[in-house]
This record gives sequence, structure tokens and C-alpha cells, in this order.
Amino acid sequence: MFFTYLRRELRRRRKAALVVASGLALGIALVIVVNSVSSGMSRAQGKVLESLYGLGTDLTVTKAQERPESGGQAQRPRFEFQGKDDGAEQSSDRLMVQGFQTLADSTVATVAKQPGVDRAVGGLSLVNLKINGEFKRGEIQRGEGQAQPGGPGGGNGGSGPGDTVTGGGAAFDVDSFTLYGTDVTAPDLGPLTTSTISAGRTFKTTETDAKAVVLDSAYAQQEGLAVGGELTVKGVKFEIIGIATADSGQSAAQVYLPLKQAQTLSSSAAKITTIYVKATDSTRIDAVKTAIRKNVAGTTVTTSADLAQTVSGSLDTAAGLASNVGKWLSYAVLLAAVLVAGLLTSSAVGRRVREFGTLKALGWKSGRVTRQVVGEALVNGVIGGALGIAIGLAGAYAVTAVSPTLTAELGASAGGFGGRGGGMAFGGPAGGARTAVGKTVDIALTAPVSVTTVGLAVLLALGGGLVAGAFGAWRASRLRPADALRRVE
Amino acid sequence: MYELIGVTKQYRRGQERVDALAGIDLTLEQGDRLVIQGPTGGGKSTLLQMLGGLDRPTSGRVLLDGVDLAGLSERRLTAVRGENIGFVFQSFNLIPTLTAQENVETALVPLGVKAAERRSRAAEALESVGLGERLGHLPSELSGGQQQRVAIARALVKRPKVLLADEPTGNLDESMRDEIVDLLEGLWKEHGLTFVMVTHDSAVARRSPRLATLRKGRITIKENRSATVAGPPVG
Repeated sequence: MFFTYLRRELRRRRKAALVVASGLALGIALVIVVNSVSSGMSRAQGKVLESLYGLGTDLTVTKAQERPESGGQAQRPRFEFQGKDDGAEQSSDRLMVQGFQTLADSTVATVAKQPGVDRAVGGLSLVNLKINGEFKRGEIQRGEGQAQPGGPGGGNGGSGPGDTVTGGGAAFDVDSFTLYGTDVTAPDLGPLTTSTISAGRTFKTTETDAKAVVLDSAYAQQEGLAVGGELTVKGVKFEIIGIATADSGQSAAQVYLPLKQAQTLSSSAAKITTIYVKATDSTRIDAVKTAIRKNVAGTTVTTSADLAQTVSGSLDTAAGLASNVGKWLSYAVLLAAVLVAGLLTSSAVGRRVREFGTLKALGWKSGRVTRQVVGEALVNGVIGGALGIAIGLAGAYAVTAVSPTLTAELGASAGGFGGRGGGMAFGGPAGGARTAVGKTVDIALTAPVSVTTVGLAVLLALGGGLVAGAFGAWRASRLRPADALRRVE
Repeated sequence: MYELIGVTKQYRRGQERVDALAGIDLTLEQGDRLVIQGPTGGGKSTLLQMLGGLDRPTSGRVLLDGVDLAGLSERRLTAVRGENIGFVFQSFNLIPTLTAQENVETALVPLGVKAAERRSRAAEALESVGLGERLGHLPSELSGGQQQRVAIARALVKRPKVLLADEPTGNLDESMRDEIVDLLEGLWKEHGLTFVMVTHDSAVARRSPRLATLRKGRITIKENRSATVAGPPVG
């Protein structure tokens, strides 16, 4: 009788049932979409951080910022050009350590011994800056109608009052690329793990001093380089053994080479810029950080949590919107839907007082009448939940299909993770030692729907149905048969 | 069977106190038939509700087989209604979404009767009121007289001791009225019920051997020697 009565009533009041179910569906769909987009944001942030750290890295250790000595100058690249014939091309290149700050590679072993550290591996981040160009002399325009060639150091009588210099100047091209000296004996830790080898191969663990490089695919394409070709760095030829494609965003470096080669080329023997650390327990990262800071002097320890705080840009804005406005909005809509459902259910009970009064007169206990009302509301909730889940999944699928691109800017603040190497610094290092530099990463937003989210939606649907039913049930339970029958007389 | 002792019922209407029943004393034996008449607002329906355990008196006792209905818990009172008392209402009060058979079944639900037995007993009850061919019809597909027959079948399917009818012919035309009254009288005789009916219709009232008149909450009972229907066999 319960189900027969339930089915018939829902069929009779299908329009009202549809309104209730639609309201709940809208709220639930919003919860699913906002939750899945939030989850996608988190995943995107994780990918951004991963692109800096490399997979499996929990912390990085870099040399602590040092103030230049009083009156001293911050380190910066210096190029020297000699006076040559007019128009002769001149070239100068520099292979510099990113951020100009290095640690002794023995620090890796010290860090590895700290409590809670599973493994530690060092790397050296470099920038190769090459300037090509020419100087051109200017020409002196003689005053008082004389026009004779001349110039600085020229021997045609020098310049006099009223002379003017025209033309001349310099035209230079600046070419730079980043390099990362990787510890080939630890291929599963460090920045190269964020890329997938798309052509050729990666380093063998025995190639500790090999003249071999792996190129980032974007750089290889830009320069027209391929596996089997050669790349010259500071006059040394390297064989291109592989092409690596960054899994997300930009790669950590454009050229990867064995650490020892990087140290030799940059005259940084036994030096590294960054230590990548994997903790034994991901829940004890803060304790590991404290231990390293305490026991390894002169270092800066950065965790992913620290790094996450430096993320800005549209990704950060969207994540903030999703977690603040979106979640509150979706829950507000859901609450409103539940309230409307409750009021409609209560109103439906109001229209059925004679019906329920009659049933009570026939001997139906209040509990049975209440169960009937709650059952109807619950079915509305289930229908709303099913609709909501379907709409929510479609919405999440649409977000994933469209994949809007969000931009994450990282490390723009002092003390940022990659500000001193570690493979994240982009752009020239000119402008003063250890100038905090950022990295911009484009991430396609996805909206993954987890089982937890669907479970939450089911609970919300049932909860919404129950709350709505409770409104009506409360009214039905208070109904006295005599009052119910009297009211319709 | 029924014994009402000094039953009063008072309502508040704003500041005014209304005495719907003012000290009713009444005794009904098993198989009795009583028709209650009186002006609107005289307390007829209120008295019926007291007899049916739908309402509680302000004071006094309503004894059904020696049990004071006024002193029972709501749960127990509901059970007494479910087991012993059948109701027939003026406006039929059928559940619009349920078929005739399902409507009749609703009276058996509180008794815990299994579904299969419910169905067969409901079909039998409908057969007994001449609606054996209308089991699957919704109330909206039945005439007023047929709907009242369904309501009568619903009241009797649980084999109650008491049948209470509140203006059962009030919404019916004359021919239908006679048909329903004939049916009720037939069932009363057949089942040996205690039958109390409220009616405005003097033609219907004249058929009862006992007539009660309620005026301003007070009852007057008189025997009707010219009643057209003999009582049921008692015992």
C-alpha cells in the first residue's frame, strides 16, 4: 500500500514534484560543478607546483639570500667588447649560474642525513646568455657647409664648432637559454621528472660526465634541433640524445645535461644551486623542513605549501572564486531549494488534510501518515538528486571539454621556491643579484568529479528530501482527525 | 456497548465559549440504531466524533464496551478506531489517487492484514455493495452514489462493531439517497452493528426506531414506533 499510494500521489502531483525535484537538482548540480572545478583548480595548482619540483619532491634546499658586502655590487653579468673595424661583428657569451648563489655539493649528503629525509639529489641551474652584434661609427657633419668623413679617433682634422655627428650606433641580438645540470644517477627525482621523453632517450645512470643533452621539445622545435644532432654550449659540442616534453606548463629548463658537465662548463666545480628532497613521510614535511633549517646553515628550505602561497594570476583568482563565492553560492541555492521543497511539501499536506484526517479516522497511526509524506518527499529528493547528478556531471564534462586556460604566476615574491634556480627562473638574470623572478605557467582547467563528490550529492539529495519531508511530516503528525474532518465541513 | 455519562464539549470561539455538548447521557446497546437530528451547530457531528473516538470530551466519560475512550492514549485510541469503528462521511472522503479496491484496503492496513488477503476482502466488500465490476476504478470515474458505496465498503470491510455515518446521503439525489439508506439498513441488519447516523433528512430519520434530537448541546431521545425497518437480530 505504501508504494502504491506513493506512486499514485507522485503521479497526481507530478508538476509540483517536478518543481521540487528541479530546485534540488539545480542546487546539487551547482555543488557538483563547483566542487569538481575546485578539485580541478587544486589539481592545476598541484601540476604547477609539480612542474617546478618534479614528481616526488617534497622540499627544495637552496642557498640563503646574502646581502652584498657594504659598498659592494650585486653580482651581474658583464660583457666586454673590443674596438674593432667599423661594422665588424662581435660576439660574447656567458654561462652563468642562475641567481649566482651556489651550495657545495657536499651539502646534498648533509641534507640526506637529516631525520625524515628519504632521498636528496642536487642540481645546477644555468643560463647561457649570448650577445651578437656590431658597432657602427657615426659621421661628422661639418658646420659652415663642410662635409668630411670623420669620427672618434679619426684623423681628418677633428671636429669644430657647429659640427654634428649623424648615424652610427650598435645593433646586438641577445640569445639566451636555460640549462639544468641533472644528477643522472637519480633519474626519478628532480625537474626532469616533470617531462616525458617524446623522442630518443633520457640519460643513462652511467652517463655522469657524458657530452650528451636532452632538449625541451619547445626549445628543440624553436631551434630546429633533433635527436642525433649537436648543440654547442660555450664552445663544447654535445650530442642530442633525447627530446623531453613538459607534462604541464613550461619545462624546468630548455637544455638538460649531466651535472658534472654543467659544473665544468660554468666553472662551478662541486657546486649546485638546488637540492631536491623527498621525505620519508609526506605528513612530516614541516618537521623535515625544521630539521634542515636547523642543521644545515645558510640554506633556505621551501615546501610545496610555501610555494603554493606564491601562486598568483588567473588560476589563483579562479581558485579563490571557486572556493569562496562558488561554494557559498551553490550551498545557498541548495538551501533555498530545500526550503522551497519543504514549503511546497508542507503546502501539499495542507491541501490533503481531509485525506490524512480520513486515514487517521480509519486507524492509521500518525507515524504511518508521516512516513507516507516523508516517503514522497524522499522520492522527490532522489529524482532531484539523479537529475542534479546528471546535470552536474554534464557541467563538469563541459568544463573539461572546453578546458579554459588559466595562468599561474609563481615565485614573484622574495623567498619563492625557484627564485634561485631550481629550474624555475625564467628570463635574464640581469638586474641585480637574486632578483626574485617569476614563472608563468598556463594550465588547462579540468573538472574531475570524484566518487566523494557524487556521494556528497547523493547525501544532499536524500538530506534535502528528508528535510523537505520533515516540514510536511511535522504538519501531518500534528493533524487531529476531528480537526481535519471539521475543517472541510 | 456505548455509555456516555455527562459528556460535555466546549470550544472557544475568540472570547466566547461554545458548549457543543452540555452533559450528554446516552446508552446504546449492541445492534441499536440511532438517528441524530437537530439544527446546524446543535452538536450532532461533535457527538458522532465523541462516539468515534475522533475527539475527546471536555468532561464526562465515553465508554465503549466498558473502556473510557477519553482516557486512552492517542495510540490506543487510534487502534480502537481501526479495529471497532467504521465511518461513512457526507463527502465520501475517498483517496482520489487510489482505486475503489485500494480505497477499501486502506481500512485494513492498520490491522496488519497481508496484501493478498486485503485485496480479496476488499473485493468481497465491494461485491457486497454492488461494485464488484468497479474494483479498478478511481473515485473520479464513479458516480456520487457509487463513491458512497465504496466508502460504505471501506467502513465495513474490517467488520467493525460500530458504524457511524455523518450525513451519508447529504450529497446525493433522492433516488441515490434511498438506495444508500437501503444498503446501510441492509448491512446493519446483516452484520448486527451498532449504527448511529446523523442526518438532516426527515425521510431518512423516520425509518429509524430511535430518534435523538440535539439542540444547543442537549439531547432528547424518543422511540419511533412508526419506524419502517425492523432491527437486526441481536446476539
